[in-house]
Amino acid sequence: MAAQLKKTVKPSSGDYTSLEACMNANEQDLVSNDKYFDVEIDGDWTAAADSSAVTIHNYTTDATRYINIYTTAAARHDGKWCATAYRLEMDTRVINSDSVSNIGLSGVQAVKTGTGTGNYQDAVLYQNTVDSYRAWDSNIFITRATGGSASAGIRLPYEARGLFTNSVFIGYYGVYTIGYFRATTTQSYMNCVFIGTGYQGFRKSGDSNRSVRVINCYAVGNGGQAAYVIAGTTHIVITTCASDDGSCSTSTVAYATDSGAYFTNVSSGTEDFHIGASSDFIGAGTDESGVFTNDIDDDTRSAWDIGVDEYQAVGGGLSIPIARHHRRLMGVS
Amino acid sequence: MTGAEKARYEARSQPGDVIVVRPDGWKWGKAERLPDFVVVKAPELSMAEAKKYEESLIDLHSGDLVRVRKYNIFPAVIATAVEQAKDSISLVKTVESIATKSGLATEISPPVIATRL
Repeated sequence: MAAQLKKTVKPSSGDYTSLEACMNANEQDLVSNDKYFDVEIDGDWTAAADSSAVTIHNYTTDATRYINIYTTAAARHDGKWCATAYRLEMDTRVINSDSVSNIGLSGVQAVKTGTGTGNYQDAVLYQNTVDSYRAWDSNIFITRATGGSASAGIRLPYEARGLFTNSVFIGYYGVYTIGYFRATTTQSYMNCVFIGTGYQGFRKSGDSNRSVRVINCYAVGNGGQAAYVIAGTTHIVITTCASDDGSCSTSTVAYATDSGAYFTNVSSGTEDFHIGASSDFIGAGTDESGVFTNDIDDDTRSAWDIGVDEYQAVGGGLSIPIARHHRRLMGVS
Repeated sequence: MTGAEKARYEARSQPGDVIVVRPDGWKWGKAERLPDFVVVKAPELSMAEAKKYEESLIDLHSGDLVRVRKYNIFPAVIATAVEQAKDSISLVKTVESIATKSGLATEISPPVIATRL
């Protein structure tokens, strides 16, 4: 049985003060060393963001000797961009996951602050191509690029394979993916939100062969562009998804705080995709509990709403603790 | 080794690569020291100047990663620090001690192979 290799990334008193230093220092063949690698991001990050780009490469993994990068409750965002939680923030590309499989990434915020218009101004470049993979869950990836081909919250070049759940992708394109040439389904987006700030929300380019699944997701396009655009061969499965324009036969749901989605905030830069009680998304998704059961807040999904948030009815009234035993007072019989 | 595997292998970090730049007075983590890292204090550089040393060398046509770091401090400088077991060193004229990579094969250190004695 593989042994745990665990390192911590914290603003102080941890093994590392940046995720990049952690990933760089521990590059190894985890299979030969028979280890799985837990990277725990912890602590209060109010004072400063992690400002160093992360390149994850030069690891050898398999299904049981994997890499799991996660934030603790103390370092995790609250379902929207959070300036006190762990965040990667810089002018350049933030994360390059370079052909390493079996990486899990959970609860991470990443923003590329540069507003350039050149091509490939993506915040996250995901190049993991091996059959087995672990979910990237509850992440928020943003690029502030204002132009350029493939300038996306996340970009996936040819043959990238992965599973993305409960995540927000904001960019000139929200997501830009090429797809895959194999006959199996290998790239899945479940309960995600894609916002194209200047172009398309979700774009699949190029020819592929039934490789991409989009389930329970919501997309918005801008600049006269559609929310979902599927170019090349149309081997993609879109199930119980919605958009602001009904593109790709998705349900039309307004990107608004007072109708349709009933998002908490749709202002650029302060987006909050928690939904209100009247949201069209409630119960409109497909049950994917065989794959995952949580939402971006780690609440358990039950009705299977579309998007990152599973609506939680706010309880009212008094909370009255009930004593389970009749207790005697000291000195009183 | 396929061409893609070779390219990835050669892109990995090399001795002397500047991995992370942080402002003066930074409290480094417990593992951000020997045997994995040497902290280089560079009083003549501003934070903004030094930050560029975190850049990668990227193929402008393909967008592929050529070197995980475009700049590195001369490995001999680092080797000396390691020999002397110094967790941190100061470089006064830091810019003169930093090389810019261009993707040449000579930038790649040979693999270290552990052998049984």
